[in-house]
Amino acid sequence: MSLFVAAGQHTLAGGGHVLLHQGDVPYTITTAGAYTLVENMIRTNGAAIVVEASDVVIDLNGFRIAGGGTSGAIVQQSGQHRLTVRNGQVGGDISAWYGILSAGMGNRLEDLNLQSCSVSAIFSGPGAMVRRCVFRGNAPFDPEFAVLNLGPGSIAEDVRFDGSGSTAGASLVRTGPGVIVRKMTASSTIAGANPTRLVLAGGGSVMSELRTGGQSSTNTLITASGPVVLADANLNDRVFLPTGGVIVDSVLSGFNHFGPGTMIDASFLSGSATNTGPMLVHDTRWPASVQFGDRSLVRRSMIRFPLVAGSGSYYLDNTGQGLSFTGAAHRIEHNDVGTFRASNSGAEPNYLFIRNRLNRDDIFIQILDNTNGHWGAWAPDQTLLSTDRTWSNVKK
Amino acid sequence: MKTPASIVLSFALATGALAAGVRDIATTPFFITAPGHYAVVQHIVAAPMQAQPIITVSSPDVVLDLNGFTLDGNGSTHSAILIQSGSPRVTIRNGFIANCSDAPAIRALTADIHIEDISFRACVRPIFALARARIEGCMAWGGGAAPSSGDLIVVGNDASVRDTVIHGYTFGAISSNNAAIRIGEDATVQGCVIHDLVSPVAGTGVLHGVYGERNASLSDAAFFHWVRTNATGSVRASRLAEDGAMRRVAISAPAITPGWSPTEVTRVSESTSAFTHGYRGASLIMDSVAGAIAGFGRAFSDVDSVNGSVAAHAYYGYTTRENTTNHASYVRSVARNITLYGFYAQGRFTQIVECLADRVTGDVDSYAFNHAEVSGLMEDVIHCHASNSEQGFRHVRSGYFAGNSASMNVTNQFNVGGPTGARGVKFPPLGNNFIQQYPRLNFEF
Repeated sequence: MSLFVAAGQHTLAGGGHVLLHQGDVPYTITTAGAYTLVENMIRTNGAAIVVEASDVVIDLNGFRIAGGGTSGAIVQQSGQHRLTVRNGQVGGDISAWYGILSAGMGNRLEDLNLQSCSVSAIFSGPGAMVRRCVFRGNAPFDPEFAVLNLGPGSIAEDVRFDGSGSTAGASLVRTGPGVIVRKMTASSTIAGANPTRLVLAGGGSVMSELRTGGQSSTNTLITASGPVVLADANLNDRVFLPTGGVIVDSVLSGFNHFGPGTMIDASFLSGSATNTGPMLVHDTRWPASVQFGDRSLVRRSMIRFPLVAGSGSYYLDNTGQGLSFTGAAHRIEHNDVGTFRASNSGAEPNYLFIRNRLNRDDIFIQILDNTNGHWGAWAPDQTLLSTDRTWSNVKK
Repeated sequence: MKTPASIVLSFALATGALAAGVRDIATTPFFITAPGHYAVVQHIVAAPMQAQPIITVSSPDVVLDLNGFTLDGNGSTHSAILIQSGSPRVTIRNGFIANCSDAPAIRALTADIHIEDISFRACVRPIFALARARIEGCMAWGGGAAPSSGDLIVVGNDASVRDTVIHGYTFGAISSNNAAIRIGEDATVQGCVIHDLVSPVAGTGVLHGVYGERNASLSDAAFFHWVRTNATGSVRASRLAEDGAMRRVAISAPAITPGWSPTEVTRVSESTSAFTHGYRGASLIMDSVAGAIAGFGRAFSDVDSVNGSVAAHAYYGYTTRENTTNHASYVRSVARNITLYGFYAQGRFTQIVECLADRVTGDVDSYAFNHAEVSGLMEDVIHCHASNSEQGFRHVRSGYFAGNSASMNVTNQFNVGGPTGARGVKFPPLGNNFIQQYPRLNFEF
């Protein structure tokens, strides 16, 4: 009777549920409906529950379900959709490849604590919704695997990862395109020679309120294809966005790499970075060595040691300890910087160097007045500009 | 597998007093006429040709828990759940609704309805609700349903739709504005995903992801892969009326195949008259991306203000409404891999500030930045440093044109002038007096 009471305490709203016991293992669901555990269901080799119907709700009712071997605790068979699993523990002291293997569409997985899976704690098809789940001690052993693996058009919200990952280069979260990941935290993620990726997201995804703590700086957030949105993130990890996107209101502490078409605004990035292609940086503090690729626009930011590499960039209204630039056709304007270095001065044409202030007097750049196509000129003795002072570069 | 040893029991029997006060629903049609807590206790399938909804609510203050079960409309033309007018504060949650072929699966004729954690399958119109409705954690899968008109989820003014997924709908002919989610004034869509919408039948209407009335907001949303496979009409991720706001939204892979009509993906502040509808720059898109827009797709179309966004792989990057949008503003945004115009402003008193365009690779009529009207402001625009770009800046008439740069393989960097002449002009290479002749700091490299 106590079992019924325990079940009932979580299901006050109604009845008609199929009650599941350890004695039912392995259990096959062939009819749509609601199923509720009234005790733990454990199977050491194989799935504890196989779902061969759509529109099934499994309420773990606070209990634990675990499978073993190359299967999972709960396995949804091919062609079945809209599986709901909620409210309990999945996995545990028995090693299994999967916690919940549900490749169908429209699955709902929420209020779960998932542990000890070596391929995926949750593997779900398109349009899934994963909410309020904790993933602990899951260690995918292949780079293609992920603790939480979601198909296109899914939502993951309020998900926490602790002590998960492996040295195999797997991911905590891997998604198809067009996915929302919100309120994700990760701590003590496993790193190593092939560090765990935090998120491997498809193009057109939106990621917000991501947090990491106690991470190895070798872990990585990376996007696979297409631009994404990363907002309100606080990550102590490498962030790679090779195909661009928007980063806003974020704090990023690891090494970074941003590809063409990246826009960063109102953020703090403390790690060094090597970027490629045109990007736009605005109102960003970046106290590190940062290399910008071709045709970038950097404005109103504090960047400690930027290297404006490639060609055709516009560096405007910034401050920093130093500024180096290579290549050609840069517009360097209205910056307040300690030292300027133009590594190919005298060889490459078309620098526009105007209205800058050099705030140290022991080092100066070698840009000459109107020679070799360097339009903006400044000389250490400030005399060459005295005839017209049109370029208005000044020295401390 | 072993024979199941499960016991099917009603929790009402199993738990006795714990279930007290919860009234079971096991038959249809069922009528709720008094406030209270009701729970479905088995699958309920509407009878063929059933002339009433499966459940009708005509009382306020009702909690209806589907309890993990399915209400199956069985192709009925009636709603699965009807909430009559004058029945506010009804909550519906936790279950499935399937096979409603015509009427909304949940139809609420009263305000202040809460619907959460409901999964819809093969329902032509999952939800219709009025003002202050709250939709949360719902999922709608087309599953063969083919809406030919109307919308999927509809809520009224001051309503909200959150954490909801819509996917896999194949529409019939669309003759007007249809939407996956339609919201009223001052309503909100947040944290939603809309994907895999297909419109294969010719029609003259527009298929939207989200269609919102004035002051609506859309945030933290993803739109992915919706396709129009006929040559008429268009698809848009969103259309918000004047004073709408969109933030942190990702749009990718919409396509029109084949198609000659423009695909306007994002539409904020639609109006036929700039003067009667405001266009005060209050409509805003922030921190959003639009990429992989196939065909003649426009990444951000007819917009008032864009701030901090990225448009990539599209026919147009950013456009204002032709000849009518005044006070448009593009700030801190990127256009890359664009066919015709990176940034195209055609109204009056517009500004394009601190934007970056790269690889605008159309023909001689393509421009990275095109500002074609009088009294515009084009200040501090990043150089159009596009490899293989045909044109850099086009600034037709008077206005303030300053602080621009064009570089890197742009065939024709500046085309500035017009009858009255732009007050800021380009600065050619060496040999001229900068102060007197070229005061606006426009440069080409």
